[in-house]
Amino acid sequence: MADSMQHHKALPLAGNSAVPFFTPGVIVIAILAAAGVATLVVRLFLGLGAVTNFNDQYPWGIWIGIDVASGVALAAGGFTMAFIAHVMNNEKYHVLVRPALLTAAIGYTFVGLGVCVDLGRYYNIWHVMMPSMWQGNSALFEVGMCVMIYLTVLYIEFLPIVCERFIGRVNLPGVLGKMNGFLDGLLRVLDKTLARVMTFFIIAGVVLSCAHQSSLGTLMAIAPSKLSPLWHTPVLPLLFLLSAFAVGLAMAIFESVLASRSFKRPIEMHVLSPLARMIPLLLVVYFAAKVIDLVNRDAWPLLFEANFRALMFWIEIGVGVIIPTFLFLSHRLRRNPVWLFSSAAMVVFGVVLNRFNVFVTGYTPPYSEGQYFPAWTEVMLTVGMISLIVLLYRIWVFIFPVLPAEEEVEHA
Amino acid sequence: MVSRRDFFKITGTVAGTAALTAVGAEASAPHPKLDPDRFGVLTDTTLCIGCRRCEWACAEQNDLPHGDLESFGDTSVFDLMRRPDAESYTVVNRYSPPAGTDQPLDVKVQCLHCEHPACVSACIVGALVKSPQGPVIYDAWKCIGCRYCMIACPFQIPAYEYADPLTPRIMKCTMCSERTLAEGRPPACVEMCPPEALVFGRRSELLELAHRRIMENPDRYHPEVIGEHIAGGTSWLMITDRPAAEIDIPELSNESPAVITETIQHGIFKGFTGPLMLFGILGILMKSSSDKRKEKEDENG
Amino acid sequence: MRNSSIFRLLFIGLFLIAAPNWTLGQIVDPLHPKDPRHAPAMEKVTTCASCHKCDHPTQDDPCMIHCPRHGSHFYGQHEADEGPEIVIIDQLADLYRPVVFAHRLHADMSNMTGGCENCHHYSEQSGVIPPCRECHDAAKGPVSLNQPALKGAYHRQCMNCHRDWSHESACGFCHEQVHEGIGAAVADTTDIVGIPHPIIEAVPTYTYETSYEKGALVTFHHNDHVDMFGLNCVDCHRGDSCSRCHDTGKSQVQRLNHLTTCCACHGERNCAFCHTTDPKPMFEHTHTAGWALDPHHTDVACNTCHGSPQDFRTPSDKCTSCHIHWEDGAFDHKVTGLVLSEDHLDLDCSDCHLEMDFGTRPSCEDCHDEPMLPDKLPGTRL
Repeated sequence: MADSMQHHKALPLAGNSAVPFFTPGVIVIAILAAAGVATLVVRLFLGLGAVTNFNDQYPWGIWIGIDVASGVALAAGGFTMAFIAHVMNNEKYHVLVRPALLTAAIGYTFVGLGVCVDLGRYYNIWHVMMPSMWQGNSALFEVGMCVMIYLTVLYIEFLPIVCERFIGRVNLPGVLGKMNGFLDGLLRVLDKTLARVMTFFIIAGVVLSCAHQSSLGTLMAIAPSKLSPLWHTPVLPLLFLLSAFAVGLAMAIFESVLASRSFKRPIEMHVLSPLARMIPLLLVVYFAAKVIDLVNRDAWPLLFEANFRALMFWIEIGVGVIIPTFLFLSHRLRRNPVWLFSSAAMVVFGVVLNRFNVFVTGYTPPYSEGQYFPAWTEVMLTVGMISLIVLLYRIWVFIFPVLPAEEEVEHA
Repeated sequence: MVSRRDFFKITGTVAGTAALTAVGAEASAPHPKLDPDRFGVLTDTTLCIGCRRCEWACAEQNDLPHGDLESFGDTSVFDLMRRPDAESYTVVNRYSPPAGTDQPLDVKVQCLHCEHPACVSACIVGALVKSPQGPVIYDAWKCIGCRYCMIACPFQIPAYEYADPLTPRIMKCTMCSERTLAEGRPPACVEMCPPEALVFGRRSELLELAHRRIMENPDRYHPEVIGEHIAGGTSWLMITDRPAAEIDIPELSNESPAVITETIQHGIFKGFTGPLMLFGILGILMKSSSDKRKEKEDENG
Repeated sequence: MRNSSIFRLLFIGLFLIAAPNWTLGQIVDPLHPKDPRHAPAMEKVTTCASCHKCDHPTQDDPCMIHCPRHGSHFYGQHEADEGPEIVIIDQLADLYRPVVFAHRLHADMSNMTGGCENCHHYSEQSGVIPPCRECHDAAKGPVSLNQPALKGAYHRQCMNCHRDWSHESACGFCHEQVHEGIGAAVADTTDIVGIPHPIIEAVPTYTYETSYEKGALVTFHHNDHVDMFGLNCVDCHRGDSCSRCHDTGKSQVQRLNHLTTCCACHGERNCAFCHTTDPKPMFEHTHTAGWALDPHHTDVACNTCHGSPQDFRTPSDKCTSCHIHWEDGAFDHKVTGLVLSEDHLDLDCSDCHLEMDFGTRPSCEDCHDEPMLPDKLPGTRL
């Protein structure tokens, strides 16, 4: 399947590119990642209280608002690209599928990791999988289940790339070398089997994504008295899903441009520009849903109150939705890499801010002794995690055939 | 590519597994039928003398860290409004006297044990359970420490042991379920309360008692039983001399917040119809688009 | 009662709703207690079951609930010193040593706060007061939701006043905690036995300045009311709480409401009766009526002539307005203890009792130049 669908040739960067693995930027990122890991160690030994500003009033902070909720939203590139390229069989976008898939796989791995860092009893995470403890009323159960299954699906979807890399090239050293033949055979069988069932996993991936992207919104719907009416609505899951569609595509553009820049490759404008054409429609639908909902609930007067929350809402909608809609609508700007990247970055920022607002800014407990503000250690862990994702992405594209072969890009 | 046969085979398997999981999920999350004779507690704040003996009895019963009996005579704690936390399941707060008198109003705060608790609905692993007999009970062994119950609780009751790196627990009033359910004895705070400002009994009878007290002393009480309807009703009831908002009871609808999420959840996932339909639609889309592309390829070459 | 009209409205409403199957008319029917002290209780009663055990109480078998708490059901008069000196409350001793309750002291104090029934809300018809534990169960927790158990009953009773005047609810005020070394034995009682509440000295006369224009001064002679009119403390100080004297934190002294206190007896008949421009002198029948009560009318109760204070009437100052059979010379001077001699029988009363002043002993010299009768009497003393 993956082979048959992969009409474009992809190559690992290692040995095929002049770009070195370590650059000054990468070193900074590596340091940030190390700081994040150090914070994690402190959290493991001294508990959440030692490194976070979480308390009984604000049990969730940026680890849920950014690491988890925004993480899931930004990893939406995986399923939106799978839908466009595979379900709709739109061949020209295939070059974007692998990078998006990798982002999603790494992203979701870190969402899982982020959740575990935030969990007080992370070692009990397996309880979610025990039918005896299933709790069908819980939106979080739905999210947890879906994310776990989807992560598995993502790994399975990624397996053909591993097969592609090693088939005919399994070369274990020393004693293990005797197994080379066997392993190679195994990989070939795996590759063939996967090709057969990949359709199922691709569709399942899209369904699972739609399910948990929306359920992530259901999470906060349970707190009508605590979440500001600017954000709380029973249609929160729909808004989350609609914004995930838009940000999935924006994220694919965002990261493709970023990767190209980083690996000193030409930007794939021939696919990115047409992809960007779809975004305004998605943004308008999302915007319309948000406006109708605000009017329908009579919550719109809150928009004109002079307070921090209203400001955050305006930024979220203005910078994240309205401005990029117009930018993406311009044929000329879509063809300009800088504008394209900026517009995509705005959408990404808007959705991250939306998740942050829903989980952090908009949350007002009835007995609050002061607004939550993240501890510097919290920020350090979040930054460290993001840095780790970037590093891992770099490691993977160096080892595995993710990015399209350069000749092809040039050829196009 | 996928053959039509493959496609149906795959779809069929998915449908089968999903249906099985759906049955399992629904069986594991039944809505507990509440016992009509379920327990409850009635707090009559007008009788409370602010002696804080309930706090002591609670700490003693639940092995919470606490000073000796005499230390609870300290009334300087009333200078601040306190909330239950990881080291105390219940606290008493003092409010200014009603107009024209100078006896302050003391209000005990603890979990109200909702009839349809949002925390229970939120809990991902069923570590919080609404006993049909009334109490909302916590099982630390099941808990994964996600603190979603704390987000869900409209009364901001569950507290968390943030300082514990390994086995942090959600901390909240248990209505002394080990006494009330197993032995039928009243909770420790109720048994301790000197003026019987707390009464333990069947919720239905307590509700009747509360209404009778209000009716017989309309001067003394605000005509509302807190907990009768708020957030879908609570097992712990309260009567007091002023509107609920004035003793910092949040203004909530009479429907449990859990109804919102459960309606969404079950609306989308009931019998997995939604996801299965989406799966089907996507499958058909994929098939037709792939057929179309094949035709094109055939034409081209 | 400020809220009585609200109660009435409430009950009319209830009656209209419940009338078909639950006749509240019974509550106002004449069979129900005539004792006016029951009236406030009756207004609080919401169901028959508040007082009656059975569904169909009759006059012969009213099946009253023992010890109801709806107002007072207290019969008979008790003096403060009839009760026990101290009461040891030890039925519940557990965390604390038994409480030594200075009953006599509290009984003395209750003279100002409603009498015995201030705490003893129930006595049997014979006047016997049952101990609290007879109705209130000593078991932990309430046995019935309708009445507190013994612990609750005690604490509600005590804390109601104690909290009011001390503004605290420290357990240590009554309780001594059981420590190692001190067992749960009764504490030393010698310091409270035989110590009555100190006699409260009242100021004989209060002069209040009011904002009433036509008479800014209200003079209140406390002694008149206590000594002359024979009122008990509790007749006026019924609603007084301990805190009136004992609460040192009070910013201003609470005063009895004159509308409920003075007007309860005097009615709202005439503002000028109390409100005057100059201080009012102490009550003197000679001043107000023109003749002295002394000596013949000193033992006559005020209401014999004047009716109840609420509808005070002023009889004419003629003796015959009361002594109707003295009309037309039917007065026999013999009733005064002196049989007039024949010489004096035909005289007019005012011939000897100048200006009809029967309080002053007439003198013989007004008529007689020199004392001529034996013992200087106009007749023979009986």
